[in-house]
Amino acid sequence: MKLQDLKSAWNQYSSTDASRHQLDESDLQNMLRKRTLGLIERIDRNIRIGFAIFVALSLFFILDDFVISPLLAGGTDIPTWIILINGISVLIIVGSFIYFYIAYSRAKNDYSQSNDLKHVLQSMVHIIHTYRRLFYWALGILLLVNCINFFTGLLTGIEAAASRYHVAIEDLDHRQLLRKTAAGMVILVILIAFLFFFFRWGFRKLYGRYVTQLEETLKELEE
Amino acid sequence: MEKEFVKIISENQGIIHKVCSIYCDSEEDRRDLFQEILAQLWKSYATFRNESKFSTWMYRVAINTAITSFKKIKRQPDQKSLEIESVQIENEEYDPEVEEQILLLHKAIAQLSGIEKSIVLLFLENKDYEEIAEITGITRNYVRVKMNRIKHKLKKQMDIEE
Repeated sequence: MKLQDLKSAWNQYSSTDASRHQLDESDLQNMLRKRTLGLIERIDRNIRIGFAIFVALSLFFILDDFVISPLLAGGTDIPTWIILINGISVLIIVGSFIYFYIAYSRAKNDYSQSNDLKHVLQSMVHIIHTYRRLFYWALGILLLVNCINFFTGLLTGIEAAASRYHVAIEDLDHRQLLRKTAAGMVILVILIAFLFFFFRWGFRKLYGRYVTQLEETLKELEE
Repeated sequence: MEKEFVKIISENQGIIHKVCSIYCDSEEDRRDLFQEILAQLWKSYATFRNESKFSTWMYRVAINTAITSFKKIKRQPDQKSLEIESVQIENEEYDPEVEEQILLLHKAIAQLSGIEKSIVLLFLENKDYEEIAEITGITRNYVRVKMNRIKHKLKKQMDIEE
């Protein structure tokens, strides 16, 4: 067989195949309207969901500080340091989101499928790496806020116990206190480890192999 | 603008079908890829400024989309599971020899990398190295080197001569 034969066989096949799959203008229009999300659009959607979660969390913390906690405390004043810590948590969440938005927009700015292949591959790898960094950062912040809430809850509990028994904190049963604190910390560590590894597994399952293949293609192009 | 876009795509849709036929090994993947290429073309259409030929631009977006397609890679296509019926020539002038050549070609192409597939497609479409370089955005020298390697691979699998 000669290369030229191959070309003519291909031409014969490709024109038959194209006419077999031919779509009219209305099919194309329908396809454009019903189209599914591409990778970058899916990441955009995930970022929007992340933003909604951050807003909901911030609102929850604010609501907790000024409505839920005072109600549950039954008229007892919430210590200023707890309000301060929760305020800092909200600030961290809002600040992180602003940073996420700027970093992601910068990474996405350069992306278009009409660029040359190398440029497209580099942009996509950069977008996914930025998204991964932001994802882990968001996860870290959530876990940090969990830890802060655990410790503020623990300290508030100790103060409440001391005030219930009308004793100073130093006079509480230290062994029991230590046992309860240790048990709480073990649960916290297990919970944090579980959340971290679960989200990391999920991210790798979704994008891990894809990023590796994009990087391999880029490497092949740079040979 | 959408009407104008759909009209011009309708006239040139053969390019998308060719790219899909090289990169997909099932009708389902093919439909998905066609839709994704169409969406990417629509998104990039506003930036098309007639600096290159429309077909060059269309090949470029279609090939880039096929190479970076998320679904395609996620499914990990089994290169042995090529759907034989997808390559059959429904032509009045049915030629079993051509059919055989096409089957062999598809099997050989399935073994190539995404970049190699794009180069071999453009080569089969009679594009010269200059045009292949323009479409893919890679250097002419790289295209030449790659094409030699591809020919070597095809020769091994298909027993072809220069």
